[in-house]
Amino acid sequence: MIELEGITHRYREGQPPALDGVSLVIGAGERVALLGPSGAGKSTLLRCITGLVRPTQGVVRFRGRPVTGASPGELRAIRKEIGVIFQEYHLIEPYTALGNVLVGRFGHLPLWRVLLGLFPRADRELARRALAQVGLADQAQVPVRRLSGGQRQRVAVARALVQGGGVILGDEPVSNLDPATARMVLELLCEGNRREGTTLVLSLHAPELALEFCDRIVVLRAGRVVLDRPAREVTPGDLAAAYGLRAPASGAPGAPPG
Amino acid sequence: MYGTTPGRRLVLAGALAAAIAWSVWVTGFEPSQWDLSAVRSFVAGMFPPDWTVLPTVIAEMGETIGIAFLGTLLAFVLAFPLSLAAARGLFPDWIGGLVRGAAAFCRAIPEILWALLFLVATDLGNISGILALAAHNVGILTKLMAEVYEAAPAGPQEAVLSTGAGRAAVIWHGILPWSLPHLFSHLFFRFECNIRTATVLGLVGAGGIGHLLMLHRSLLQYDRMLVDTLGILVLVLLSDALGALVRRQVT
Repeated sequence: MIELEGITHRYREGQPPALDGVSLVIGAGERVALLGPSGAGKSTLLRCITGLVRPTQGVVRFRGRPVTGASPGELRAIRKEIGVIFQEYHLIEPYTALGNVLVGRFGHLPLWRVLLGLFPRADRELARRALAQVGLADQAQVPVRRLSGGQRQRVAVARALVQGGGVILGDEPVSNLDPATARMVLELLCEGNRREGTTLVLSLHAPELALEFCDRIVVLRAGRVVLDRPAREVTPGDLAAAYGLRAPASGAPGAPPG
Repeated sequence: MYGTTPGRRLVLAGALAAAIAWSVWVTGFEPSQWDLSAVRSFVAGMFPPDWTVLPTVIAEMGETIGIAFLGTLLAFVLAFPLSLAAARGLFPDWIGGLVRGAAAFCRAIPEILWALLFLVATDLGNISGILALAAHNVGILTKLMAEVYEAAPAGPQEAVLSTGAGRAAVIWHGILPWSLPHLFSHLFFRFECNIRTATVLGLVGAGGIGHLLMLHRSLLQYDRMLVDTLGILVLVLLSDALGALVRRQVT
């Protein structure tokens, strides 16, 4: 589904690379958690998949189609199939919550509808349902600039949900939510995964959420993959070692949590 | 300035003195030769002001506002697509460079020069004024508006782009909603400036209150000129107040 082959990316010549030879194959229907300290390259990796970043080296393929070196038209077709939840939400401030969620439908609609903001009833329904799913049904007509950080993040989640391409990439999708709402949103994403086989690639700051909701853990450090293992086989010692911390109990695999 | 040495201060003082001496020499600035009797007769001629021209003055003030409004609007309509083309990062660099160059040319020519050109070309007062304002301001607005788009946050643009939408959608939904208040702020400021400029354009024959002032001056009707001048003063103060009010609402 998503293939990364020897991806190296430098934002600036002469600086250490943000990604350093990352190869990763993500299958359809997987729930992948990207972990690692900030600056490890998680955001860059996600941005390479949608072609927002063109890696300095390496090849990215999405459903067999090359993302790297794709024409603008091909890139649009690929992006249409990938819902993205951005770390900073990236909402359109003057628009309502519903208006922002409908942005997720842009790729599916003819240009005149997008420019006039005339959305078919089915799309409006879809957007309202997504807002209800993230618990914001009664905020649909509120401009997002009046919403709290957590509410804005959920609007961004709803926008990715309505895109309906079968893949959702999330860059810290629950970083601004209280624990209960974070679980609700992750539960929602996992429900899409169970019911429709949506592939999830989520960068998360909390390893315990990753272990609970994802079936595969990938840890990045300094632009390299230092751990890639099914979630049920990952021990706290593995994580500590991957993060470059001293392991709780000597770091041996299978060691009991300290 | 405070950190300069005595030597440098001496050089600066010398340069200033030389500049003054040279300027007096080239302009023939010689107060002792001023004919104060002309000033006396001019001031005496202004009083009492001839208020019978007030209705005409008010009508011409309206015309000046109309010239400024249509000139600004025309400039904005032209600058809207041009500014998008001029903004860095939206269209290929060579298009942007070309448009930025053309805009720089338009604003390098002062309105009054544009007005004289259009007066020769069209022989129509008001229309020359409108076209002159539009020609100069399309250059200014194209630059200012392009700078607004360049400053627009990248996030919403990326979000729109990531849905598979094209450049038109990115501009329309990713850039413009954020830019709109800034665009209006620039637009109203230009309108305010253009009301002032339109009075001056009248002096060269491009319609409005300035035109009336020039007419009264050439007929030596100083009592009417005073009323014209007061009209201009009111107009400029009004446009200042209006601009301040609108900018407070928008931003």
